[in-house]
Amino acid sequence: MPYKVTDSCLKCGYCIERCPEGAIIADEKENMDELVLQPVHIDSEMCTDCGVCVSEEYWCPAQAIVAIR
Amino acid sequence: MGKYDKYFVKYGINTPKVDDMRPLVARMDDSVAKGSNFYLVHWVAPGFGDILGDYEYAGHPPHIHKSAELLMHIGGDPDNPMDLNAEIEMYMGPELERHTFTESTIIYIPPNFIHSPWRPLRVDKPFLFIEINQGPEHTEKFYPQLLPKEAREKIDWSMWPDKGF
Repeated sequence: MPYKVTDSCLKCGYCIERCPEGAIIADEKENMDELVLQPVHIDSEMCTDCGVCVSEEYWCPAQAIVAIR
Repeated sequence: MGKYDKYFVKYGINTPKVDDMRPLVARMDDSVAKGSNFYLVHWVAPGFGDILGDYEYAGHPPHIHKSAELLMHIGGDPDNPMDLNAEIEMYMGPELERHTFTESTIIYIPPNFIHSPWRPLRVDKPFLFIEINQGPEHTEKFYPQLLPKEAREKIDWSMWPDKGF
């Protein structure tokens, strides 16, 4: 079951190093006023569907990662 | 001197003091007692809220911890133990859902759950605040992007560095 990052993403980048497969990829950084934000996407070819990114209620603090059904 | 003196923790007497504006009673972690989780105990006295500012979203900015946390607010009147004699404001989740309470209250914060700003709106009598973090060190990652620009600009972010992330 593949996963995706939804618009709820806060662009904090916390998930990038936590994905055991390295399948959460950093996109080009964005500026919001003085803040630098880190958007991400999930590489569907690198994702092994291990499900760790949805294994805890707040693995993503914004609950922005969901399964694509 | 006894063999087990090290287990009797007296903040600033046999443990290191830290730079903190709060009247601390205890600050424990793995560096103070090997194997201990992080705990912080301090009084909250009248006027404490003034330090944190008086504007919408003032206070400890939104953040997460890697480990679960308990935030215990314990009223100081043993005849009315559930009366906090204070009013606390706390925001929860990325939606910044606003809560206020005036009773002795424990807030459970799951791992990685966004919480705060936290601040006392009023403190009539001192109460005890006990922070229990279910991990060996205090980790903290802030989410300034959740706050409106006006609030972000009023906060001294040098006071709130990310730790352990």
